[in-house]
Amino acid sequence: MRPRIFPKIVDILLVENHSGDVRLVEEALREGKLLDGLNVELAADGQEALDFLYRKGPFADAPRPRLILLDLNLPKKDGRDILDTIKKDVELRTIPVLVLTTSDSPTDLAKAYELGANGFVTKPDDLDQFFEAIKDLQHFWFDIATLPSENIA
Amino acid sequence: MIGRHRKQVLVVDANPGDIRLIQTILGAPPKIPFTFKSDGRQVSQALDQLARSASLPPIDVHAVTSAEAALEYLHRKGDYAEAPRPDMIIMDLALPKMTGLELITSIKADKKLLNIPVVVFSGSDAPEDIREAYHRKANCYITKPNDVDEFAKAIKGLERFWMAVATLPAPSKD
Repeated sequence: MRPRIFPKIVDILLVENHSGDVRLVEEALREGKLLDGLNVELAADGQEALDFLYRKGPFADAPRPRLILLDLNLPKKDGRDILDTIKKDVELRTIPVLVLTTSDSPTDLAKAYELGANGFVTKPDDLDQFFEAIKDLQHFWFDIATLPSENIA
Repeated sequence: MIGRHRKQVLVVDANPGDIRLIQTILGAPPKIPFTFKSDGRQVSQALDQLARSASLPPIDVHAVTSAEAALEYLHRKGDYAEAPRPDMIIMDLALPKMTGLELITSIKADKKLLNIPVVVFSGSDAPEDIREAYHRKANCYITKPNDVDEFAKAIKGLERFWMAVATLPAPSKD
């Protein structure tokens, strides 16, 4: 496989296998005015997410993402396992991980925070609310919160 | 989304002025400008803002000025025997004896407390502090703005994300 080319800074690694949801998140991010400059990269399953973070195979040149949006139910490797792996890794654990899922199960919620998720967002069914949620998320994490500044090695 | 029951927020900050500001801003209704021109767009924006703020739960703010007091509060010791469990903690790093970083560690090492989101709201913008706070599992880090309007904006944005967008962990039945 040929190595992929990445921008220098990846603001968001979106780990999501439903292409409809990928589309919605990207559209919502684009709608948020400040957003033009945000680079979003996609990992379409759990294994790809880990390959991206550990720079394996085609992801050899992948930069460290500033924030991760993680779905829970993913093919190949479950979102909970990925969360656990990231938060147990001394190097990766400082990257904020927001769980973004259709699940509103209290078990998933409790487990995610226990594993060290930085936040848990249930995707609203309503399209307008979905857009609002993503815009509020983006505004909070990119305009208000301070993300760790890693030296992009 | 979620329940409309009152949310409990614990603020840990050595500066009483900052505590006061946070208390005033959190849960306060949005300011609606009275000088409408008969401009439909402005009116609908204002209504939109009102509707959005109506989706926020009412908040009770509890405040302590040291990490030691925060731990007493969280473990319901002494004066805090009846204290409600916070749904979220907003804390400064610069605290008198035990430091904020130490407080994060001790919250996140405690099985009963670790799932309470900890938002660091700190005057420091030193990269080491930011990195260290995330490393110790703070849920997020905000650099406290000096400007009062920016300060208010930060608190409002924080409220919006954590109280309306994110789902907070359910209160444990302890």
